[in-house]
Amino acid sequence: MKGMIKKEITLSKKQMLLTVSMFAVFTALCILVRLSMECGNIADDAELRDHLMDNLWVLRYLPFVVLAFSYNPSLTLYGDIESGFLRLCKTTSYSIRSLIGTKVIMLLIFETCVFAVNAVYIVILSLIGGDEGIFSSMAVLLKMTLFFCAVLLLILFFSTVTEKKKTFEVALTAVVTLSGMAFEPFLINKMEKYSGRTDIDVLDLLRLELAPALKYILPLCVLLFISGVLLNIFVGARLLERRDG
Amino acid sequence: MNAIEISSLTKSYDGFKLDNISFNVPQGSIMGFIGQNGAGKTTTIKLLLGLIKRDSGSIKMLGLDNIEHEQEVKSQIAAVFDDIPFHDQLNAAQLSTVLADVFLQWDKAVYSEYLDRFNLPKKKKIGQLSKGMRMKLQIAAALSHHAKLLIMDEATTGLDPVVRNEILDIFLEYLQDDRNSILLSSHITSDLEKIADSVTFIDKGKILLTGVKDDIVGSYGVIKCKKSELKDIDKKDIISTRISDFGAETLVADRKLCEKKYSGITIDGTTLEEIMLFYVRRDKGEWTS
Repeated sequence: MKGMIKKEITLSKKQMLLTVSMFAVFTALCILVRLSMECGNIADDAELRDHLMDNLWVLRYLPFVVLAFSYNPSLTLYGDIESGFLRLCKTTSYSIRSLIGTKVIMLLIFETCVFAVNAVYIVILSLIGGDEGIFSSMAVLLKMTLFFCAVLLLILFFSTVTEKKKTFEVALTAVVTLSGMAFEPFLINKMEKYSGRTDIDVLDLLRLELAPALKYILPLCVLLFISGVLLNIFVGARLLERRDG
Repeated sequence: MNAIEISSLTKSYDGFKLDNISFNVPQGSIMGFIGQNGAGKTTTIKLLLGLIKRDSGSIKMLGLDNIEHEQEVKSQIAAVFDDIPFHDQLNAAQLSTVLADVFLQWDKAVYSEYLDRFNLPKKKKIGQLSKGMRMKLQIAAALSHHAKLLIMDEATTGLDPVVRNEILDIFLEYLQDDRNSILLSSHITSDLEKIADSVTFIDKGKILLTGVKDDIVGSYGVIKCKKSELKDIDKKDIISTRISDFGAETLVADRKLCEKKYSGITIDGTTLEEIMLFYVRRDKGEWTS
């Protein structure tokens, strides 16, 4: 498995470097904006400053938002298919389940690392800003991580189903479309209900409205995550092993 | 024991049918599997490797059914394709770490020896290697996990004569061990003339010839005569005839018999390439080159 994990890292190196660079740039920009809010142009504009202060909470999740995309198992699967490596594996006694399992494990390891980086980030921001919402932020981060992993695992599963080129775009489109169709009645209802209000007010109202359901989010994310793992290991791998024609 | 035993193998696609083919590859030998493009070589090889499902028939490799004992068979074979199945972003050294997970009996030392022998750079990305170097890398990988059977699909196609010669020498070395065997599919008959012990000729999904190469080449002959003399040759003896401005050349399957039958007519020896050329045009009867 060591060799296969190294392969996954090598194939994702470019993407990883890109996202780390983006994270560095975003962090630098955020520092500059924050400095400006204290002693720059933004400090002179009270309205803008207040608006930015209200939205600063999103920065707690900046590492995750940028770095989570550094590794995508579907893209490495396409690399395996397009290069002919998957075909080679099918001619050997190497289990395709192990191939998929390596990608799942790599995803878990990687996203755990991203979670850890973001967790440290949250702690640092909280210590600097005196924010006491560390644990609630960590809870949100955990749910985001689990949900994001579940989505990537679902896309990976779609890729094993079709085993064709460009399926990532198709799979992503399918996931987004299905999600949109599932949430459409809810979103339209809320848009009508909260039209005319500011975005901060809408978020607060939504949070209040969804509060009773929030306790189900973590178990739902865990369930989606576990389903994604099992689907890929037991169904996706089997589909990839199938003989053509 | 035969390394490969194919019996009544059939596979149908739209517009093509591998029709009830049977042939054996003796252990310790190299068989050339020849045919023109689209004859069914790659389909046969895919069936051997279990990449596609067969409609009927049986395949035994190293004495075991290739589906019922799939894992055991696959642990003892190595496949070499005409396009290299490795990621361009990896280099030869990284590839060794990856293949150590894929092949149970991966031998890093043997692999390293082959890299040195082929003068392959260990740190250069595979995508930056020339076609010849990539094929040598693939062959180095195939030979580095103690496989008993090599199955090669057009492995020498597109390579220059120097590289092809180098690779053919490696195959002969591999066969020094009697337990090793090679099935080499190619339409470059000159390579097979050099190293094959036996040949199987496939055309339009059917096996036309199979047997010891020297026996096949020795038994066929080409009658060279004038066009007017063609009528003296029994049509049953003729595979097909090539007509040119200088006369006619007719391929016959039994040279010795024809030498007795048609005294006074020149019957020359032939090559695998000529046998292939005359056979694929057998439906036309007479043809011009």
